[in-house]
Amino acid sequence: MTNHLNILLVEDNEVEAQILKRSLRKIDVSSTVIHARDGLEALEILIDETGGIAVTDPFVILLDINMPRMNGHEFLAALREREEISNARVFALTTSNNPLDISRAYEKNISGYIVKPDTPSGLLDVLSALKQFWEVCEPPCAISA
Amino acid sequence: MSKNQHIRAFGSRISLLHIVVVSLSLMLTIGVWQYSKNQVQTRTEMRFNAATERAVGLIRDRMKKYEDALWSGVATIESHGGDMSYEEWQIFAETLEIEEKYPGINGIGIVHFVTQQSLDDYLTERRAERPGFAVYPAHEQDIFIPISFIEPEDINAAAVGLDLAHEVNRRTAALASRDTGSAQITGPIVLVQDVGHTAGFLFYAPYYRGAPPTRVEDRQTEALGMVYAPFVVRKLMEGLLAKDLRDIRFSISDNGEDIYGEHGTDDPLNDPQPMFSDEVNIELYGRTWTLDVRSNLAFREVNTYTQPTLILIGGLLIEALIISLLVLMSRANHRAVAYANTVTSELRAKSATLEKANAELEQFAYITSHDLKTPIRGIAGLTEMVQEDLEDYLKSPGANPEVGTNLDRILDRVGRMNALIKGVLEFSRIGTQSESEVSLVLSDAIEGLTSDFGIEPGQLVLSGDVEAVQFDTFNFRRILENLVGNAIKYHDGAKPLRIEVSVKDCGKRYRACVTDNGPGIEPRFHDKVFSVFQTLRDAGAPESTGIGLAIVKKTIEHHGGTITLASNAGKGAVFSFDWPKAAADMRDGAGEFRGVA
Repeated sequence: MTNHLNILLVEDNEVEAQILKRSLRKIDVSSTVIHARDGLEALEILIDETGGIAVTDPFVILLDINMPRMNGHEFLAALREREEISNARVFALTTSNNPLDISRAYEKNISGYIVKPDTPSGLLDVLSALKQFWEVCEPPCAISA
Repeated sequence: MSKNQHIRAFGSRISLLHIVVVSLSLMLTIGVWQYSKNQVQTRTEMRFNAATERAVGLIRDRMKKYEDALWSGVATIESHGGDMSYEEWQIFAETLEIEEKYPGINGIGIVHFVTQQSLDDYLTERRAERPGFAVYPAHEQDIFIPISFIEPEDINAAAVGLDLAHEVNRRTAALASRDTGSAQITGPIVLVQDVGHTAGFLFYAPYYRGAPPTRVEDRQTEALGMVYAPFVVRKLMEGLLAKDLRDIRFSISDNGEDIYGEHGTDDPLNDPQPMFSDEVNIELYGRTWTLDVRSNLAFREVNTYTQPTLILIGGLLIEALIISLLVLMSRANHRAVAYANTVTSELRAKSATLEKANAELEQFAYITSHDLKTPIRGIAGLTEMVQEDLEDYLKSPGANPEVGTNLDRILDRVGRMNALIKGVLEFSRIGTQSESEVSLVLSDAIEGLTSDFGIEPGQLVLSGDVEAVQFDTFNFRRILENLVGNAIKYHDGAKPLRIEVSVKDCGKRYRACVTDNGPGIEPRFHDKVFSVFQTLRDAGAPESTGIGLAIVKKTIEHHGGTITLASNAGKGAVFSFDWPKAAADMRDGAGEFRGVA
């Protein structure tokens, strides 16, 4: 099942995205990583032009909070409104450790809020832990209904 | 300022207390003034009454003296067997020294009670002494009371032979004197010998045949005559009381008829509106004299007191002073309050500005450091990527060794940069106190630090009598972490590392000490170590941002304490500081400008 797990990475910073993708590769995550530059782009990926759901495989979302056009909170709000994907598993992965950001994110039922470690090695540790978590747990099926 | 505001401003200046004070003192002034006035009035009235009584007393005494003279005449006649000759009477009268001793009377004489039957005998007897003696004027009465002798005779010649029975006042008093056996005076008459025709009266004292009878009938039958004295009231009073020495004036009336008066407007001391006046009745030898007594100008002069007026004026002056003082005081107070309000509002505004600036600064530091982190992490990530991508090249023999070294240097600088940012962020957020006040168990904290720093349990030991701290535990732990971290970081390994954390209970506060056996710090650097970005090591040494001790110092001072350093090069270092037991134990003023420092 893990092989089919898709990861939707929502991150406006290209370098960050590249580092993240590379780090994920390093810890042998064989998932497909799809990169969206902001919330709006992420929604476009999830929902096709006709308004239907575009993804069929289980997926997790790694979501940055501070982004242009549509930030993490707005994206979460839009996501929870679509019934078919409203229970998608989302992890916030951001530099913001603002308590307000954290509480707002948890109000929208995120699975975890991760403040990005300052060092690449720290990032690797965090992603390894995350990988273990979703290896142990049954991956959520976004479109099981 | 509108009218209403004026009124409000005035009202706020003059309080109820002021009004009460002014009213009370005004009442006091008026009270004292009235009291003093009454005192003076009472005293003056008493003086007037005393003067009146003295005058009445003098009149009585004088009349008594004249009565005594009459009775001495009676006694003399009785000693002569009930009759005296004119010559004998003359001798007696001379011994009285009337003019000197009795200035009020015109003379002293004898009248006889004569009936129709005895009239001839009486006339014969009188004419033997004084040829041509006649009794006059004629009247209808069946009794004759002729004046037989009077001494001195020259001024009284007109009276000799005058029959007192002819006129009602003279007769009534004479018969009353005879019937009562007592001295009597007549009502107002005009003496025949008084050329001035002023008011006068006669004074009688009766004598009888043998001893004075006790029954009225016996008196009427046994009465022989009376010793009498004619008075001119004016002369009596002149002799009686020296007018100049009196400060009262009086007039006398007898049964409504004026017999003496001093209230004339020609008297220079006459007071047209006397301060006091009184009417006194004196019972005198069968008559009632009414004295109309009035104070004169001399009395007014002596008894006019300025004291009550002075008290009133003085009191009112003091009153005015009090009012002006109160007004001045309340004005000053008002101004002071206004000034204080201005200053307070300025301070408040300043404080608000400062607080805002501080919050902005904190926010700025936070955002700045936060925003810095992203590119730094990017640099680190990219550097690692390059390292990975060049892995094969770097391992190859022809590789430039500087490439690998420089990439490592980049990562090292990035690490320092992160530490710096973290420090700046912490320094800017010292004002933010930890909300949850869960007490920090010290042994747990030491254990945690031992584990965090990766040292042996015996290298970090706890001593002292305190088991846990309760106040701002987050920052307390952070301070320990910094101090212990420094002790480890700068330890030179000359001796086996040993750090002692001691927390003691010193009454209101805890006393904490962190002692190490490292290289120590030279005294000249002691002040420097607490400054931001100061580090005594080479700049190349890792992980020394120079912010740690600045954070420690600022946090401790924020809670009203101080941190002290005792150390010498080569002898280890001791950092000591106070820590409050609870928020209330913070020193006065500490925390007032929380976050402003």
